[in-house]
Amino acid sequence: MKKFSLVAAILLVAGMMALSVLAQDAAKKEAPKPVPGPAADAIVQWNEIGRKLIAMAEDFPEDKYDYKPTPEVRSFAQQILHLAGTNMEFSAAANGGKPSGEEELSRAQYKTKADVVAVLKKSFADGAAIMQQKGDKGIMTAIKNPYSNEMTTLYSLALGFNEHSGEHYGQLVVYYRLNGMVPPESRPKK
Amino acid sequence: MRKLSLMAAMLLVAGLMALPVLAQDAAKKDPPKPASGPSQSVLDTWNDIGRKITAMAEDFPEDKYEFKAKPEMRSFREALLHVADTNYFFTNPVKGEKPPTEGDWSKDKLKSKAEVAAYVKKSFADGAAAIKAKGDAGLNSLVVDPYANQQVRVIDFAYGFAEHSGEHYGLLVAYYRLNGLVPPESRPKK
Repeated sequence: MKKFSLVAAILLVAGMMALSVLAQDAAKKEAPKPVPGPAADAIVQWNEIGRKLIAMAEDFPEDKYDYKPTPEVRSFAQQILHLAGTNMEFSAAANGGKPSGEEELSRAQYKTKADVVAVLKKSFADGAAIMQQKGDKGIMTAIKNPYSNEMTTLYSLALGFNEHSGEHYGQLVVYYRLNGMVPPESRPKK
Repeated sequence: MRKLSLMAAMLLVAGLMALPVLAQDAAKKDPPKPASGPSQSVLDTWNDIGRKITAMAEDFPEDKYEFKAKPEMRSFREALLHVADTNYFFTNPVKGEKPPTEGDWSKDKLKSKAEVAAYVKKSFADGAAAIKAKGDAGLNSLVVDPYANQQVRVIDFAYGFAEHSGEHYGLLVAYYRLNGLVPPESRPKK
């Protein structure tokens, strides 16, 4: 009986190992997912950096919202408000409007963490909604670049803005670490 | 004669005042430059963040290359090498080559400022060459994103990597400021 149990155990382990190899093979052989259209792709990228920034804004302690690592740079809240402001410029350009030139939303106007989070969330949601509405054709139609006297497309503009959002995300990662905290995106996945 | 001189002076001042207004009007009326093709737009975004990061690599004092804001973070040098290594996850698949593997990481290989700066520069130049080689039509061709087993258009893929570079640029901006230095891009333009 004892010998039988040992054999059974060995077979069980071998079977489990084989299964896991098969599962890995299946994953490798699975055909890559098909490509989304340009509007969907721009929205995915826009929402991805948006999600990471919104998670920070929601997570960072309100009593540290005015933290800045050195006096000459933007505070945590000012960084978030700057991003919300630039997103608003994006939406204005997408709707054919003129840029307001006021990218720095005032901390005096957005006093609480809830205010700051809400305006950031809305700015990303509005940008995504406009791209959704424009669709693949509309997103590739020429529009005026709000920052230079040249034409561009909403698609190029959106992805350029993403790079800009990334720059501020990277700064905020350091703000987190300097406060002894781990950014939400860098925490172990549950 | 005196009256005439005064009048002349007044006319001169009025003329000088009018000149900038005219110049502004001319600038306003200049039609915006036509949109560049998608290949040029993505190349501009790619090269712009590449230029900013390369400028940092070349500018930051070598004796601070191992600086990190906190012990658990990447050093200045490691962050630069991470960006450059990551660029080849774009460039290799676009060229039909295999993405790098762990053995390719440069972290333990490149130590001096000259080596690191040259590698960073080359990684962006290689990516730019791959984008150029694709041209407008080729940018819509598909590659498999090695991170997501997902088909992706080359152009969307490139913008995603530019955003990633942006995140690390932002991190390095904070490293500059923590060392009492101003990032090259943020210095007054000559």
